[in-house]
Amino acid sequence: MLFPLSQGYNTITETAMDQRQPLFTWKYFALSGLIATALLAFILTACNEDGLAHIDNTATMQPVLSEYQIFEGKPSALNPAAGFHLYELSTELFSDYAEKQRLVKVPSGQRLTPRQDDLPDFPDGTILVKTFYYYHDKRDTSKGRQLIETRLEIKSGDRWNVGTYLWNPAQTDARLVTSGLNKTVNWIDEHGIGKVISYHVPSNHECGTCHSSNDVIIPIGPKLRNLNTDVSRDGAVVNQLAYFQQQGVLGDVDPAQITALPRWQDTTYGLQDRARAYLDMNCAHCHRRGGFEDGDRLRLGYDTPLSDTGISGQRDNIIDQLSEGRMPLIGTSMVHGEALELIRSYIKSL
Amino acid sequence: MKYYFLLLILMLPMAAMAQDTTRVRRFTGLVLAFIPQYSYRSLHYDADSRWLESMRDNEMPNTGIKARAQVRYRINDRIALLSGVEYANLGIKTRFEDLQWISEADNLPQKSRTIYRYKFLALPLHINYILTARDNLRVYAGGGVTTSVFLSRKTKVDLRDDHHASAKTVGFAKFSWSATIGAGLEYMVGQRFSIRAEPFIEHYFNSIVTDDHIREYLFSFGLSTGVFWAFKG
Repeated sequence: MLFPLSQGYNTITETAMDQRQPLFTWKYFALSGLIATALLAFILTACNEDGLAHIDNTATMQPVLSEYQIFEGKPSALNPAAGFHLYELSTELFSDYAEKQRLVKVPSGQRLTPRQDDLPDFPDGTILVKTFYYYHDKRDTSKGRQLIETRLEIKSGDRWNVGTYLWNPAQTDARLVTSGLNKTVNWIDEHGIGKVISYHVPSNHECGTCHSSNDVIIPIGPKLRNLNTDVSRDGAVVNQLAYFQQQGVLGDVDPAQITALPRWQDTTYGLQDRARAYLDMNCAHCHRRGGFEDGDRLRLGYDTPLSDTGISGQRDNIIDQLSEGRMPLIGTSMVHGEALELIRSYIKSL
Repeated sequence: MKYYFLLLILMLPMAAMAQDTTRVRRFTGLVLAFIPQYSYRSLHYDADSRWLESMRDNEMPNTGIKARAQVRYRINDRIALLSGVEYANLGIKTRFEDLQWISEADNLPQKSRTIYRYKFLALPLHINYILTARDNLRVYAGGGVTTSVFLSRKTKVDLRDDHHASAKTVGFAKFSWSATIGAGLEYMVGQRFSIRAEPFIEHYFNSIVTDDHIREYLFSFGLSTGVFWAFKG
């Protein structure tokens, strides 16, 4: 039998509840709380930003990488064309074990101007190129490699413009990608273990996570202290800063007066130097004044005195974040196990 | 548009309060729900990124769950509001793809797929309208809006025999709004207990990603199952 609708939400139990009671009960406050919560959500709507710097390129990025004539010959060989100079970093940003080739091109007749051991001043027209790839079999690199993406930073009108280019399956050219995507990548590592990851190609928007300083886009890697290392050029081992000066790429600077960031894997350096070098290159672009994590009080630059870094107060948190893969915020899908051990040992030693 | 929906959310409890002159008990009970669901996403690209669509052809819906606790607030004999908290886990996945290896090595995985899981903590506000009631059974239509706080997106690489995962929070909208409609049955099994089942569909109406060139709207459908426990009168 269909019961009267007056008993719809007035079932036996609920009818019994239909008793007079004070208006301002805890339920009234519960409802008020609900309204306040909704109101708060409404207010927060206005703050629904993700904290990333908006990248408004001042120069139009070409639709395909070949337009920039960065490589000569077969593109997949990554042979730099005239004017593009290879550079190496003492300590690199970890990107899911990707290999990287880095190039810089400075407009003819101009140079990078040193600024102590930090990023140099880059003249307008400077191009930074970083290509990410994986060897099919790292035990035998002659078996070839898979190019994934090439990222460009081009300085124009005193601002850095960024573009990410995704290599095609034939490895003949790369296409501009403005929105992020994931791509399955597999390779055999140096221990003969098959690795499979969901490699994330960042969107322009995501580039701002690491590359913004006070909402201005800047490069991360080529700080002079990170370039101040020995490299092999033309069959000889030379200091990279001295080599760049010889090539007319870098203004006058005495490498001996510039801090040399250690290679984090180089065990001839002490634990602290290696760990701080790793933190400098992998964390400090966010964890510094003006960086994406400005508010968290961690300051992880290599030149920051330990007492000012905030590391001591966040020992467990740092290890947790790294070991659970929550840090870095972007650019990795797997934990950097070797570096985690280094940081763990360093923090334990404090 | 989302501001209008949000204002609507605000107006509903206020309207309820405004009519609360009879001083009758209106908070009638608690609804606890466990909600298995299928979820997916729609992607909208700008002209520069449209070529990426083909790269996402192998995506498919994935299972997810919600868990929800809501208080039921009676407005009249037919209509009740439900509000509370909710944990939501929506997912999409790719189909298994064959992996190519250049060299031989031990235990190389042969197939992989990627599973993405979006996790939210949410404040749902729903309305139930009783269509008909017979004996211990009520048939109702439901709908509502949900304000969700984004927690993380977990990316899991599934290799059949092995897997690894990572969670990221950057590049996603902190807050999302979704609308839900459904219809269900509530069956009283005792003086104070009822069981509920409600098929529903839900669609997010803001993009979960903050990318300037792509819009990603999540949606899901599933069966909300739960119990209603009436407060002691």
